[in-house]
Amino acid sequence: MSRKRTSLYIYILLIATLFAAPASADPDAMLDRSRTQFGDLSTNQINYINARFNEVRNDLILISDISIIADYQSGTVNDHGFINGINSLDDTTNVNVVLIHTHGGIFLLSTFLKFKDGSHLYNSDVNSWMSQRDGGFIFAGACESAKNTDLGNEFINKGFDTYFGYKDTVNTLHNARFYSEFFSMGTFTNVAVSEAANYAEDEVEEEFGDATDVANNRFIGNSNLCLRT
Amino acid sequence: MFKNLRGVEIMKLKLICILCLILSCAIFVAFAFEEGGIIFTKENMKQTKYLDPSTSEVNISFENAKNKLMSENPEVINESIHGELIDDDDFGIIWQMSSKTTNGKSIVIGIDASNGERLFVYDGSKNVQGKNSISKDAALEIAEKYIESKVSAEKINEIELEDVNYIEPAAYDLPGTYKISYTRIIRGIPSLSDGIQLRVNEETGEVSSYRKRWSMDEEKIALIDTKPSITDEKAVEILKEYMNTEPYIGEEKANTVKVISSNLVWKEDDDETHLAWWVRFIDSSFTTGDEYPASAWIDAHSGEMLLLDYARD
Repeated sequence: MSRKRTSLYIYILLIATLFAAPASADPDAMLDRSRTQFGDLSTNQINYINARFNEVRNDLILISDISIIADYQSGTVNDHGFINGINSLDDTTNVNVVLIHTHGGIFLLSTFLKFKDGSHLYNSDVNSWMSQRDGGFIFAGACESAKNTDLGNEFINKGFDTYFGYKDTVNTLHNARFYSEFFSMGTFTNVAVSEAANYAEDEVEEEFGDATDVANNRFIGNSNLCLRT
Repeated sequence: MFKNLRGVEIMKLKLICILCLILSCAIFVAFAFEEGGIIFTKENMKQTKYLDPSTSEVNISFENAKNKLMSENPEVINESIHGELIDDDDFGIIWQMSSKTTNGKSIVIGIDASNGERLFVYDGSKNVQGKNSISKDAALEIAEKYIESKVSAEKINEIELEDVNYIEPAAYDLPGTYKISYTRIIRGIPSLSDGIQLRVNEETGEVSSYRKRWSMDEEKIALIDTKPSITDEKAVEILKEYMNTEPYIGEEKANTVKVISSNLVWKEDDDETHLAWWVRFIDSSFTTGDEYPASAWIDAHSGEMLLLDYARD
């Protein structure tokens, strides 16, 4: 009897472990450094991007509701992997945060984000692969990521609060400095994302003498969202 | 006999426990490294951004900073005011104060913790749509009056208008904006980083953001010869050679460099100030629609490439 009971406890423990482990590992935020994987940057530039991402990671953790960050240091494997990463975020978090730095563009009027395997993420992919979510903020740090509103709108349709992107091409280093400063200010209590963007734009101008590329940006959804309240 | 049976049972139990441990570790590892994603948790990341006011020597207290925010911005909601003491890379030790505003927006300001000067403000309550449409000249006049009210005459004499750019609304519910930039001139040469930046709401004429950076050390700059040792033509040659040696750029593009402008500026790099040639250029990889040129900063004395801002996303 005692032996059976012991075995039963072990099985319960085993099953509990199986279910508890994944649940406790659900991230609240996700960083995707795909841009470092395309082979068109020098080591210095890659180091610059990585340093800015590390700053963002340190700032995001200041948000009380963000306890776990999944940092894809060599980027997600492909477009589907990126959406899988978003699907794995803990949806009970007040505002999930997603930051991706990659190549982007427009093909036949459709906006896309490019991944290291060459795959392109379009709005139809988001529609097919992404689960319905309860809020979130995505920073799409890529050229023309908000030239048209199709991709951004799809994230909003899937439950995100706000999508941020650029209306035109953007210099890689400007983009990296911009998101670092954006999250530096955006993770301060009661600061709206639109004000954080203005602050970040000024920082880029001070470092590079010109910020017209990053200033040409667009918020789709709620531009008054505060990441930390 | 009974003792042996019990021993076997304990061994089995131990074995199962070890298996459980291995399995749970494998699950954690699998989740942590799925497709290259590394998990960082609050527990293993230490907060170092905010200073402890009780151990920092500052002349301005939190209450002083809060009063300044409230007196200069009556639209703030007292209960939502938040402030932290920050050691900022650009401004030094500042009080960063934020608040919700009565029109449902937010405001954030930076106050010098040693003398109480307001270094920046980003006022969402002024970043709202209106019914008017002001001209570029009118925006410039508003900016000049604002600066006169905030900055000493001595410092105003050190700045020069750099740009007035109209920026389209960033969202359907935000206004268009004039971004106005002034550069700080030191010994006759503009500073890349120092100066004043403002935003004037194109639909209401109100100043929605202001920022003054004055971080370059004049004493250090006084030691640098303002006459460059290399010409701008030589700087362009250095740029082409540098591009040639970068595998991701190469000779073909280097040979097609077309200079758009080249100017002397003071540039900070690794806490050192350099007199630098700021060369703005395009090459064959730029298409007709590309609006934003690449930039290079080359030390005007040593010829060292300080920064190449070339890649696009």
